[in-house]
Formats: sequence, structure tokens, C-alpha cells
Amino acid sequence: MSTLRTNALEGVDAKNSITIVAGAGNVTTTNVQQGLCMAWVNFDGTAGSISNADNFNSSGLTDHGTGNYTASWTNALSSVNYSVSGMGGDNNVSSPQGMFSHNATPSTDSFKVICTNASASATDFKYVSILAHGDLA
Amino acid sequence: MATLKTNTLTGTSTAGSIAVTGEGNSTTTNLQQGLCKVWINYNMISSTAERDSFNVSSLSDLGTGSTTVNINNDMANANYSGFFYCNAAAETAYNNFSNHYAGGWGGLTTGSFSQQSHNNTDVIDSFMNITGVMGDLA
Repeated sequence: MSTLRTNALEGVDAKNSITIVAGAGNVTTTNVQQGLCMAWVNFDGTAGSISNADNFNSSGLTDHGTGNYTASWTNALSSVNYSVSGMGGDNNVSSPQGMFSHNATPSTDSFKVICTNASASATDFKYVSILAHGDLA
Repeated sequence: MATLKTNTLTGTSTAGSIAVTGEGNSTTTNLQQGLCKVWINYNMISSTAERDSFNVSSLSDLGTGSTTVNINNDMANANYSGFFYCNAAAETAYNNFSNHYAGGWGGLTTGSFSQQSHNNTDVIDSFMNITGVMGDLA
């Protein structure tokens, strides 16, 4: 058993690139930076005034009306070509719930989504999650 | 090229916090905050069962199209974020998948979260369910 204690990690050859053995066969490597989620947020879309319940690297939310939200990032991504995933839903398991789709051209420092129900109508959901994977600026 | 060998990483000032230099060579991100804490690929058809997972203790079948994923090492609070994809079909195809209403979250707790798969108008057991969670471990 060995434990490395440090507050920060940087690559030696390139500060922004650290490889780690991660394959099931103990051979294949992956990249630490590329594998990290750069921003995530959870919020209650049904609240009168929406705000982050918990987050990482999110500077805030904008409410554009029913089911329409923008999540803003504190530290921006380096391009608009990052990946976004997530889900919306409520606590009702007896009726269909919804998820979100892109609702505008992505920005390096924010992302707009729309949550919809089974009738494709914009809907506020209690649990809204948005995640961003990509390159930090 | 330098290789550091260790089995465990711990923050010096705060055990649960290590900064990592991002792709732009200046801004840092946080290693722990960026890690996926739970992920699973599972099947709702017939007997609900996982294909592969990380930090999942079990699955609970709540009925057609609804599943609870039970977390092994709990989250610190119920305000975590995550993603969920299902193919809204009982086989490998996604012929019932209809644009942007394929499923959703049920209740989030520190030890579990529920999900529902549906097609256009009905709750349906899905062959392919892929989900993960980001947030703070307890």
C-alpha cells in the first residue's frame, strides 16, 4: 500500500496531460484530464427561483420560462464542441417523465437546455442534471 | 516521460481535494469533483440485471420501466448530478425511441436513485440503460 499526498497534479511533459493505467488488463492507459467531468449541476426546476442545489464549476442558472434553463460555467471550456449529458425528472414513477435536449447553440461558458414531458411540452422537473465533458480553456 | 507509481491519491491540505491542470495549461480543475462516482449498464427486460457497474450494490425492479439503482458507497447528499440513457425498446433496436422523451429521474437519495424508461406515451422496459452520477461521496 502506498499513498501519494499532494494538493495538485501536473503532467511533466505537458502540464495538461497525465496518463493513468486504467484498463482491466492493467496495461491500457487513459488520460486523467480528458476523463474528468469539467462541470456538473443539480437543481430543482420547479422552484420559483431556481438555484444550484449542488454543483461543480457552475456560476449560476438562468430561468428562461417553463422547462428552459441555461447553466453557466465558472471556468469556461476551450471550445463549443464539448459533450453535454444529463437528465430531468420528478418523483412520479407512475407516469412518463422527461429529459432534455439542446435548446441553443452551445457557448464555451454556458449551455441552454429544454426539459420536456411525454407530450413534448416544456415542463419544469424537480430533478434536473446537466454535465459537461471537454477541454478546459 | 516520468512515471509515478502509487495505489492511492490523497490531498495534502484536504484529503478529498486535488487540483489538476486543465487542457489549456493554466486553469485547474478538481480531480475528485470530476470523477464519476457511480456508473452502470443494465437490462430491464425479464429479470432486471446489470451488465457492468462501478459502486453499485444492487438493482431493485419497481415494475415495468422503473428501476432503483442502489449505491454501494453512499453520496454525501441527495443533490448530485448525473445522466441517463435508455433505448426505450425491449430489444437492441431503438425503434420505439422518440426524440427527447426517453426517460427520467425518480427520487434521489444518498443511497439510491430511481429511473424510468418510456417510449412515446408508455412506460416500457428497456434493453439498454446507461447511467452515471457525479457529486460528492459521503
